[in-house]
Order: sequence, then C-alpha cells, then structure tokens
Amino acid sequence: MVKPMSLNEELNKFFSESKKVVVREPLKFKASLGIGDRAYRRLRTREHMTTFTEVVGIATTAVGLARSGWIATTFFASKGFTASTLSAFGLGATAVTPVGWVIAAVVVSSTAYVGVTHLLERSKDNGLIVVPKYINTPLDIIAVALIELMLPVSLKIAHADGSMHESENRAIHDFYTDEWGYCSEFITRLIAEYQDQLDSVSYSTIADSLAAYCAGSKDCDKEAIMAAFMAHLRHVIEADGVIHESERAEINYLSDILIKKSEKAGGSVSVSNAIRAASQGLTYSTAAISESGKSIWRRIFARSQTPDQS
Amino acid sequence: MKAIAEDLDTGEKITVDITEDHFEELRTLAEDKVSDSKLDSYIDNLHLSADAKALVASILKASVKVGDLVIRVGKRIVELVVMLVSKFPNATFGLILGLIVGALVTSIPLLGALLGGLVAPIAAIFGLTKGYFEDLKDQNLERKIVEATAMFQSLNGQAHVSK
Repeated sequence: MVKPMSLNEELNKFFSESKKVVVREPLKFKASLGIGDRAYRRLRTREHMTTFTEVVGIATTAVGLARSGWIATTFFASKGFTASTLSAFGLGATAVTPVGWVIAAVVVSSTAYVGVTHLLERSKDNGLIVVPKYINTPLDIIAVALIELMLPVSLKIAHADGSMHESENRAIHDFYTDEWGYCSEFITRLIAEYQDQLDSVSYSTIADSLAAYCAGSKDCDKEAIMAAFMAHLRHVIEADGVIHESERAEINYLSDILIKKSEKAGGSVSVSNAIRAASQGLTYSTAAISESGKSIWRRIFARSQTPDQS
Repeated sequence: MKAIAEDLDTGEKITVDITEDHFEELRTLAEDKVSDSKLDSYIDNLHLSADAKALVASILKASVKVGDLVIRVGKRIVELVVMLVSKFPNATFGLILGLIVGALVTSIPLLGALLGGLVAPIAAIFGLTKGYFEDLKDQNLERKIVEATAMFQSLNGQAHVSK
C-alpha cells in the first residue's frame, strides 16, 4: 500500500510543478490598465468619510464586534468545526488566545488601513502613476482577453502596406512585452499563430469588443488603454520609416470607429479626445490627402468597402 | 528555546518557550515552498477582489523567529490555502483561509497574538459568518485543515508579552 503524502510533501509537489504565465511583469500590466487606486473599491467608496470618523468608525466597529462575542462565536466556537479542531489538539472547546490581544490587534490594523487610504489620496493628481498591487480580475484572464482584442489589430495594421517589416514586428512584440509586461514567448507564439488569420480580422468587430470589454471591466480605464493602444499603432506604422497611405487610412478608419463607438455608448468626451490625441498628425483634412491617399480612398469608397473588407 | 513574534506596528514582542524536541519540525516549517514572486502570481490569479487580495498579502508579513530560524507563518498559511483551494474547488479561498486562521488563532497563543487582528477583516471581506463554518461538510477538507493546523503545533506554548 502506498503511504499517503504528508501535507508538507503535498505542498512541495504542488509548487514544484511548473506554472506557465501569460504576464511576466504584473506591475507593468497593471500600470497599463490605467485603473490606479480605483481597483480598490472599498477604499474608493470610503473616500468621502472624514478621517477621524473613519478611524473611530472602523476601530469601534471591529472592537465592538469582538466585545459583542461575534468573533468569539465565529472563530472561538464552542461547537462546530473550530471547536472540533481545538479538541483534536486536546484543547477542548476553549480558545487559549486572550481575546484582549485580538482586540488590540484590530485597533492597530484599522489605523494601518486608514494610513493606506491617505497614501493613495496623496498620490492623486500629483503626476504619479498609481499601480494597484492587485486587481479584481484574475490576471491571466484579463491578460488573455485584452491580447486577443489588441494583437490582431496591431498585426493587421502592420500588414496594411502588404507586408510586415521586421521593425514593425519588433515594435509590436516590444509594446506587449516591455510596456504591458506580457511573457515574451507567449507573444512570439501568438504573433506567429495570428499571422495567417488576419483576413478574418474585422476592425469594426474588434473595436466593438475592445470598447465593450474596457467599459465593462472594473479593472480597465478605457481612456488610458485606448490612448496607449492608438499611440502604439502609430508607432507600428512608423517603425519601418515609411508611412504608407494604406496604413494611414486603416489607422484613421479604426480611430473613427473607436470614437464613434465610444460616443454612441455614451462614453466620455475624454475617451474620444485621448484617441484623437494619440493619432494626432495622422488625421488630415480631405485637402491634405496625398494623391496616392486619395486613390486608396476612391478605390475603397468606389467599391463601398472598408479596410475591414480589403 | 524561545519563539519570538514581533508586532511590526507596536514593536511588542510575544515570546513562547518551546521544546528543542520540535526543532526539526520548525526547520521544515521555516522552508519556503515557493518564491515570493511566484506566490504573488498565484494570488494575482485568484477570483478575489483587489481588496481581498491586499488582505491576503498582509498575512504574508507575519513571521516568527526561533533562534536563527525565521518562520514566515503568514506565507506558510497562504501557501496552504492556495494549494488546498486548488484541490477542493468547491470550497472558497475565504472559507479555507478563515478555517485555518481561525483554528491557528484559537489554538496557538503566539499565532493568536500575531494573527488575531486579521480575524475580523478576513470575516468581513470574505463574508464569513458563524453558519458558514458550521456548514463545512467535506470531511476530506476538514482533515486537511486539521493537518494544516498541526504543522504549526511546534509553536505552541504559554505566551509572554514584552516591549
């Protein structure tokens, strides 16, 4: 008969198994989400309380709770699981830890909590980037959702002039690894897999999904993500040193879609402005369109096509 | 042999006399099972709110010193919970954490003093109530919680507080 593993052996085995990661640098990823301290819902919803009330409120509640016997009946149970665990060590049903220490510790922890709130308050509007240590969505889930929406667009834009230059490939790879913190191997593999599927990428559909995802996620700041994404697309088309009219046309098409979708969904003007600012210099009036640009637009509109269908 | 836990906020030291017979168990307890960054990656990927994850991270700071050994009891607890929640997917992270911390706080004075302040926040953030604990039906999980608590029993003893 095989001897069952001890809990310590189980722990060693569990953590020795390799864990593949999507995000190699979590802090970069969380910074890119632009959500800042708003990730901490409880901190945000409490921000209008006065400091004094807050300190007193928390401490009173926590200590009051301890004194009322609520903690005692929850954790210091006289029956049920906790009590049976105590019994397992021959301690009977009586907690051996003085309740007074628990109460003292609660007071200390509540003041520390308020200290964190103030730290976050101070960092607002002073030019700092606030990166939440944790976000509400499991990191890999949000990372996969966003990369599936953004990377195909990056690749499609890079291919707008018919081929993807090595420098464009590098700009895309480095944006997702160096700025977003994605695992390099993961991005390299995804780029290779998406290359052959770009014909099925629809700017309209992806813009829809990206806008909806950012708006629906409590961990995404739509404005920050859209602005950074548009700036990245601009860097991609500039990476090989030549901005082809087809690249310019496609990025403007995408920019227009994102602005329209945002405004239609009642999005803030700042989102539209952020997208416009990110693609500034690439947008132009009809008079400024070069001859080759005009011919591309003529061709597109003559066929009633959009870059999605080209 | 003395086990000393220092409260990082007040500087108060909680001391427990423990027998040297348990030194090997303590050495095992002191060994990290996983690096801090890898454990953080597990925490990042939990289905918990940012507030709850921050609370879990605060547990990681709790440690006890025994001679030259530094036992990161908070990290051991979180390692255990991360592993157990993957083996018992029907139990929530909060339930397992509450059960282990609750059992440790009530059965080991040194850990009671060190972790007692986390009891109320854990219960509040994870929505744990008295009934929640008594609803525990999974005997395998119950057995694991008892085993987990047993891993820390070498720290048991009469506690003294000093400045």
